[in-house]
Amino acid sequence: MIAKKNFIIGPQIIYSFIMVIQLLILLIIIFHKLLNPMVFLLYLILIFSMVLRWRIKLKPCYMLIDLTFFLLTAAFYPPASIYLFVFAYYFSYKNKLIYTLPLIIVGLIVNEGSYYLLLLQGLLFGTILCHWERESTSNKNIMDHLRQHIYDLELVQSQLLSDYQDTDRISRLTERQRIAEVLHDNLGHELTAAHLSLKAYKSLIQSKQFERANITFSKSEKRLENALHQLKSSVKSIEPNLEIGLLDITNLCDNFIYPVEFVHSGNIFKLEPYIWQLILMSVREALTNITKHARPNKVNISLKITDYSVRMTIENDGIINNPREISGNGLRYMRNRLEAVNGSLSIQRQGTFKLIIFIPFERSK
Amino acid sequence: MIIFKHALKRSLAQPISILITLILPIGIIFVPPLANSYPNGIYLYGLLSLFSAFILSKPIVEERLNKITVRISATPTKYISYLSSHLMAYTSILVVQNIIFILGIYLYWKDLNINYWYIFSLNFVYILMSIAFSLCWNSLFKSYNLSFGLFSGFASIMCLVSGVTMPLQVIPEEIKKFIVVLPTYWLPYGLNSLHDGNIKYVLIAHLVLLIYSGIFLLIGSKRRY
Repeated sequence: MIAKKNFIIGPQIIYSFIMVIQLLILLIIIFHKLLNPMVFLLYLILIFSMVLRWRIKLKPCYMLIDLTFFLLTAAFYPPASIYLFVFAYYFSYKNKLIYTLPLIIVGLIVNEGSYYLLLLQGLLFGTILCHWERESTSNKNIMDHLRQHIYDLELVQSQLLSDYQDTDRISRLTERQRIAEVLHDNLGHELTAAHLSLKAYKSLIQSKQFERANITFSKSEKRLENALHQLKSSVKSIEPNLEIGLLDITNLCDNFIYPVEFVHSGNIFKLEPYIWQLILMSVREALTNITKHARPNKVNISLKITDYSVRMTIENDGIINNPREISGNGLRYMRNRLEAVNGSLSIQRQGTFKLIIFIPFERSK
Repeated sequence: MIIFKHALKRSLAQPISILITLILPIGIIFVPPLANSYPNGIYLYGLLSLFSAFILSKPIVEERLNKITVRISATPTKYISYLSSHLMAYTSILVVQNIIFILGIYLYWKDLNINYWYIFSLNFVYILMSIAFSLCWNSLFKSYNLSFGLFSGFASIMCLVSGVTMPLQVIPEEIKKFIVVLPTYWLPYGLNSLHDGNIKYVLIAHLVLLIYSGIFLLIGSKRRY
């Protein structure tokens, strides 16, 4: 994507523009004396001084050297005092009003109305631009700070999502450990006892002690029944309720202000909890966006789960033409979250507004 | 120094450089003087050096347009070193041209009382101004041909009205107030002052041309890709 360079009229451009006007005013003032090479030389030195400041960022105090030169020239050649108002404009723009003190003193010595007028306008324009510049810089800093904050938040969010996946893996391992313990503690004992009883039964049969063998066989049978019962109860206690995610989506759709048709296909038990979480978050965000920016007659949500991926589309027909609202913060965050798990989000606007969410996942873990 | 040598070799490799350095200055030596002035060739040298500087500065423009400067900025070479080396190379060629021209004047106009050192120094600062002016002018355009087309028109008019091609004495005083702002005005002004023996004004002409060079250099050296 090519960044578009916007031309913004800021205080610096206006400062340069007014500086050119100041120099033109000065040229008009000295025009009748322009054939005097000294007059033109001083004018050129002043232009050089200003161009130098435009081209190279020098501290305003260095301008005092130039001012001293012009003040000394004015002492020996009084018409040179007319050049000084440009310095007043420069210093007031740079917020160094104290440096304009020699100019005011010169004004008292020269005591000319035109000098005061030029000095005053220079100070006025400079001061106004200085305040504008200060405010503009402050706003820019606030905006930069906010941008940085948003960027940091996005970074934290993506890290959290990544951590969430890691936690999911760890909890899966912990769960496996728990299942192994349950199987060992409950089933293990019963199956071992049953196995030993069957061995004893075999020995008793071989030694033709049929009565005792029958008792042992009954015990083995009972232990196996117990083991089967415990297996069932363990499985029931371990098995998660994977339909909760689907129920959440259904609830969201049912309680939405516009009619929603939700269809799903594929095996929902293939999805990891974090994918459910992402799907739920995306549906919630999409429905919130619809309430804010669309007036649909119907909303269609389709969830298709395959062996390797999940594809969800959320489509509404109540499109309102406002292209600026397409890529808001909500969608950007949604995209970031999806991209953090290698997923994607795309938008289609062909009569309807369609969000297409694609999340790949590993088949077996 | 490497860039300087490269720029010098590149400029000298062009046949037009030989033409403007050796042949054209000799051609204008023989232009006869008007009454109460130096030989007209000395004034016409202003036109020659202005166009020479513009033609010589072509590589620096081409390198900017071909994005070579972008590649150079990715190397440890500083832009200021690149620019100053090029400008020094062009100045060296034009100084040689100036020397050849002054020698020619000295040999051909032996009987005239001419202060060659002042003419040389005046021409030198004028050369600096011409190079800086070309740099500044070219920085405003994105095509060398367009830049050259407009420059040839503008420079010809500028030289005509400011006393380079047409003697300053024939220009009315009222118009002179306007043409004072043209940088080319200060070469014939300095030459006339030198002819009249006003060394103070010759020095002022030197200063004005130097300041013009500084201004044009500051504007033209702004990096544009």
